[in-house]
Amino acid sequence: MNTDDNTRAIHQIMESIKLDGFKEKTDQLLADLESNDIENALKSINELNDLNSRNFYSIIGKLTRGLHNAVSDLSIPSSENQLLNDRTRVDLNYVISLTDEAAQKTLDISERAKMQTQRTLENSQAQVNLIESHLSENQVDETTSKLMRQLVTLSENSVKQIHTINSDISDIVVAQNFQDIASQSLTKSLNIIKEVESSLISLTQYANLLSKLAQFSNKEVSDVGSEDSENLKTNIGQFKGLSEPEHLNQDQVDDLLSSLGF
Amino acid sequence: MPASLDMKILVVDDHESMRKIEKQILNDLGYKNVDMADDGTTAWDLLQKSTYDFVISDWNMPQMEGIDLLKKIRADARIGKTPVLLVTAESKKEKIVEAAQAGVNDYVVKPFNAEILSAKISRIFP
Repeated sequence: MNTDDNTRAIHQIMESIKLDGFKEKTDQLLADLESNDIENALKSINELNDLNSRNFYSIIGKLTRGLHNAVSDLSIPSSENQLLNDRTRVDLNYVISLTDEAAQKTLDISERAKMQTQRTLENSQAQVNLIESHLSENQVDETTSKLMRQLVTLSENSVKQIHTINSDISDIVVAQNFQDIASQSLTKSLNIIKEVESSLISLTQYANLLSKLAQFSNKEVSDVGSEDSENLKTNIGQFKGLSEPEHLNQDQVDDLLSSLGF
Repeated sequence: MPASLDMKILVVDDHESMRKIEKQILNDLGYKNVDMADDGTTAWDLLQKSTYDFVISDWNMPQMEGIDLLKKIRADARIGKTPVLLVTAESKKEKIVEAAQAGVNDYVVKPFNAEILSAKISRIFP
């Protein structure tokens, strides 16, 4: 998906956030209250709460998937790596290093160009000095003198043009400092996106575990078998794991989101 | 003290391109005696070994940030009065206030141009 596709997908997620069944439940609650059926009213309130939680985590899951896909698509294919493996992709850091390399190259070329123009400047100046020295120390005929004066004028014009070129090269050099600020902004943005994605993934994991634990909540003690007990222990263990930051790789994130139906 | 074209300047930035740009601008302005360091720690080592008339430093750098380098300079009896200019992408008000409180002589927000750098040098060395 490209950026526009991702934007559309996120919009679709937002549009799909409908509290399905919410109206029916609230209607039922009103009816229960009007008929003074408190027991059923409380039941309706609990159902509304359940519905709310399910919808909330569903939205979080869909947003996580949307953001995850968007982050994946921020990566760009590397032409060098593609020769080795078409599926190899690198992230925005590659863009940062590419622009930095481009800036370095521009700076190196500018430096060489400045050295060249400096030499040309010195040559032109030396040429003017030589001609003027020759004219002042030697008798030359009018035609030669006129020709030499023209050469001096041409050299002086060259000197002016070289100064202009030098000034333009300086402007090119200075313009490269946008690369530095762009690189810092990209790095900061990338870190923020990764933090948001990581938080959403943690929240999705949390919702998944809550949902697994919910199956035990309505059981009587006598209904809980040894298998249930093991499952419960496993899930509690996963809860403890969530208290520490968990770093998932790309495949693990994809697997998790897919397993949760996103 | 007016700026002398012979003054010894230390440029500190972790980005090689920025160091080159700043050196190039300084050279264009006539300052040829320019040393460079890629972070605060390296800069501090150079400042201990040699005497600089002027330090131009970035803020965000690995090892030692520009603001910490500034504080170390100001706390040092020998080089405490060395003029320091921070050239940085940090443009938040609180950062500028922090730098001012730490004793920075002036502050340039990236991106900048030769005219801005020249004006700041003239202000620091009137």
